[in-house]
Amino acid sequence: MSERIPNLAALEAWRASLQAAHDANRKAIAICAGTGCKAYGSDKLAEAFRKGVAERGLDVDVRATGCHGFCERGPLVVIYPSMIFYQEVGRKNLAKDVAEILDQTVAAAPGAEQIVPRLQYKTPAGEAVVHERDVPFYKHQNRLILSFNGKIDPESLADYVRNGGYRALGKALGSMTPEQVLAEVEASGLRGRGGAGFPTGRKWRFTRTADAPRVDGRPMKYVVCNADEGDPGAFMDRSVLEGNPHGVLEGLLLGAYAIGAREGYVYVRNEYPLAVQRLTKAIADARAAGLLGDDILGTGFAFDLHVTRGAGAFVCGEETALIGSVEGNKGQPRFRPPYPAVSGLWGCPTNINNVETWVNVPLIVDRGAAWFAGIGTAGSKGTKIFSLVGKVNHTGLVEVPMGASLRHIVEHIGGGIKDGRAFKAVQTGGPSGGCLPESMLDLEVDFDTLTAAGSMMGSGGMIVMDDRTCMVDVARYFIDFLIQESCGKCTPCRDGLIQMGHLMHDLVEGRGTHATLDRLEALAPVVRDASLCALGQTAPNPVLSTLKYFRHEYLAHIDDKQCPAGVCKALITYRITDRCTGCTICAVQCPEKVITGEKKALHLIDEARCTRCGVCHSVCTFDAIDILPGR
Amino acid sequence: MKQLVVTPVRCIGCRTCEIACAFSHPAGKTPGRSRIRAFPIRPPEGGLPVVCFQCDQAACVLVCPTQALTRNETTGAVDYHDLRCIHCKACVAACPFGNIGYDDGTSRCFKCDLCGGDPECAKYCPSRALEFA
Amino acid sequence: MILTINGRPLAARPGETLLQVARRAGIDLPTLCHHEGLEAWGGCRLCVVEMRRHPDEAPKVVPSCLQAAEDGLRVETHTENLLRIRATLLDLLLTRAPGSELIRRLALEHGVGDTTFVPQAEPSNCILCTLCTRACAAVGAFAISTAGRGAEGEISLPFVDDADACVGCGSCAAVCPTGCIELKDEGLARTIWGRTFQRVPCEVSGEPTITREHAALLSKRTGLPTDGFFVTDEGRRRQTADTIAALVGVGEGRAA
Repeated sequence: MSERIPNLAALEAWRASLQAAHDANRKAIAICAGTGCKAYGSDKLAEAFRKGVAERGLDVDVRATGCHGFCERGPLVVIYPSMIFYQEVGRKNLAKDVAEILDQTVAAAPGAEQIVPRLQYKTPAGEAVVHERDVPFYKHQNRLILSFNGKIDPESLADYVRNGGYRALGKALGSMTPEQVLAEVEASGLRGRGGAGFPTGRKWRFTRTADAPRVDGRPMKYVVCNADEGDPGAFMDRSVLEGNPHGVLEGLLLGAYAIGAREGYVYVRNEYPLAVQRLTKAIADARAAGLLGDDILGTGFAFDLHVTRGAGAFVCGEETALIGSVEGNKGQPRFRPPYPAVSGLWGCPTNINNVETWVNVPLIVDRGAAWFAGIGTAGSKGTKIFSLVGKVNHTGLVEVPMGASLRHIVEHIGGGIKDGRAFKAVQTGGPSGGCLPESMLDLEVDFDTLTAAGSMMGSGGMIVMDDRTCMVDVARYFIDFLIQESCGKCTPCRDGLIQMGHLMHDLVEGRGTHATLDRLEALAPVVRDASLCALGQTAPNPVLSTLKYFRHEYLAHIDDKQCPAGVCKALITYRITDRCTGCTICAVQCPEKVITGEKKALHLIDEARCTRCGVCHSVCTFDAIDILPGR
Repeated sequence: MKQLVVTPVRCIGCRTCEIACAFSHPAGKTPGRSRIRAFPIRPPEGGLPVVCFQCDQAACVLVCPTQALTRNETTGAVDYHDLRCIHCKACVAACPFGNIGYDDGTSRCFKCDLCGGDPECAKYCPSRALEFA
Repeated sequence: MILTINGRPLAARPGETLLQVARRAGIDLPTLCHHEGLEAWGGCRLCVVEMRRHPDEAPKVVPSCLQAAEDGLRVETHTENLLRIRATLLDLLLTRAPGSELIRRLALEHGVGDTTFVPQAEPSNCILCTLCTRACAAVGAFAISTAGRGAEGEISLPFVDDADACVGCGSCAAVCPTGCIELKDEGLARTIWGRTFQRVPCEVSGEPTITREHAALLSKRTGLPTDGFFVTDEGRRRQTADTIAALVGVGEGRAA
């Protein structure tokens, strides 16, 4: 429906007619069209399914949806209504996979469906799973925000409305005052999902009560959605933006209504072209339907939204740098106070929240603060989406109630460590966070517990590490990242991180001494205390948390000149064992030509000339090359 | 409000005003640049004192980008605030009368500040060519 | 309003910063990126102080050049932590500006001789305080800005060598705390940012006045005619004396 919805009653009438027309028993093929699965070719897959359905004359809906979350196993396909789950569809043989799914699962009568075993999910123990809800990855989650992602076509306003979208908006505009909407968000206990965890309702209230400059004779206030998502390994916001853009729009509309804002900006990082595309379409559709613009749903409420793209700067996730960037200035943070709630975009009160924070709002208004506050812990309400990545069996997007334990996430949902290796650490909070060891696996995850443990929630990145991850190298990685991303305005971050980088490189390159650790520990508090913004203030965290929990690893690098995890090139040795069959592949592939040996005989690496590039280890099919700590 | 009144015909060109001004505005341990100039006039009838007119619509105030030149409401003078100065010398270029200069030695502008309300030059002028009234 | 600094109760006016209140009370807080005539930047961090709103809360480290004075604030300016922070900051700045007399002097005052850190490969002495870019913006030329991000930042002309917007006023070099902006005056010629300007000679004395470009900018900003700009102050005083002499009728109307 591309015509304007004139009033609240018309919206509900449309919703009812969509629901009535929807046959829940009709077969549908839902193909994930999130960025991850698209990279695996899900577009071609969807096309093949459409063609196949047409050729067979089947009455089946083929629907490209938002990200399903189990990104590692893409392309993902779910057959409705039975919810039969298929993974890695089309990776090896697209035509065959499509044909078999159509003929055996889709074309069959309900109850007589046949499964295609090779495309099923199998547990680490080898058990095949039929239905999506029984896949351990999904079974242990509480997918409230992500519930739209697998179901709806993110480019369809009708799909969103049919599934309950904009009902909260209708309720707010029709039967609640702005103050009541604000009170609902306050009562819910929602805390910002971008990293700081500031109570959302309180921030809204500051913005609502702030004095505003007048534009066209009326007070001017803004709402902003921070979709910069710069943490390496984090893609929660991306999936929400790509899979449920209207959820974000509805959150912004409700916030604008509660706060008294007239315009909004969604600041999306430039590296998310699909999110920009989906948002832009959603905004256009919302405008055409009268859900954005003047006189929304005939209630007199006016609000419009713009998309601004970032330009590749992690620091622009910081709210004052983001504001600078939207204004067309350099993205450099500013001193606060004044806080954006009082003086933000162009000096006007501005409420900035993260994507995930905004998308919680329609749920809160629709189902009530008490419902929301019933989920989670005392200090942290609701669910949290984590991007679970690294050395686990199941990587992807995980939504759990606050208070779920790290063990629940890593073992039950994540399926434990890959390749049977040992858990070593989980890194949370991106470059601002810290690494937690095995002893902390039973930690119940919420804002305060993570901070108390020396890490932080951050935006939700969760990187799992095993015994082949060097924690010193992890700290070095984050420092190098922040050196690149520092805006350069303040001395401690700009110049202090460079020096911390020198020290970390000394450690991983075999030059570290006890003095190196002393100097790191002396410099870190200065960077933390004197930096202008949270980038610099939290930059020492990865170093400090790894020093706290993995000091022995640092000491091995210094005293023993060894990298126990087998990562730091200067502190490891590659050695061919007697598992060698003399296939000569390593000798052929070695870029430095330092491997000698006769065919079918044990080969030898000249350790003095070996550059530790690792090529031999990765090409050996007999697992005959060991990585030994030490040189 | 009192003003520094100049009566040129009374000036004898003795230049005592310049000495008084220089000594009352030291640059470190030495006397500074004099804000007032008494030009000797030939034939030597006397001199011609030139000093800042503290213009109502001062060009120097107009051109200064950092408000380093502002009106002192008590003395009526246009005061120079050296800490606000970014040394662009627009004021020197703009004054039509040459009554503000830039001292490279001190990296500061110099102009008459009426000595904060009690001008030294008027005290020492022997011929009442300069009066604070 | 009253706040305490180092235990001393001090009066403050609304709109004042902690730096203003402290300096008025004779407390020496070092600054590098601060200039009274330009908007506070808060980047060098030398002026940081510890601040508490309530006695039992942990102190917050804030830049005094930006932190507004509030009634009841408790401020400390020279705690051990702050002195350590300042010493470290100066130590870090020495990696960029080993040739700056000012930085060396401040560092020495904080117990730092040569830098204990790894120096920049080819130190330019620039500490990225942005006083130059802010002065250039105040003058209205907008000829220079910081190019690049983080430690790779450099004060630069657009496209590295486009000096078209520079008017040769020299404010950037004058406000630079480390003296790292090269300005060469030779006769009437002035070379800065790779461009050589000709300063117009004074109509009276022949001494250099300002560049035509600077005059054009001043004229555009103020509406004053450019032809008034090309006389030195000394030359103009002479002209003024002549004018007055003629008006008043003394000495053939000519100053010696």
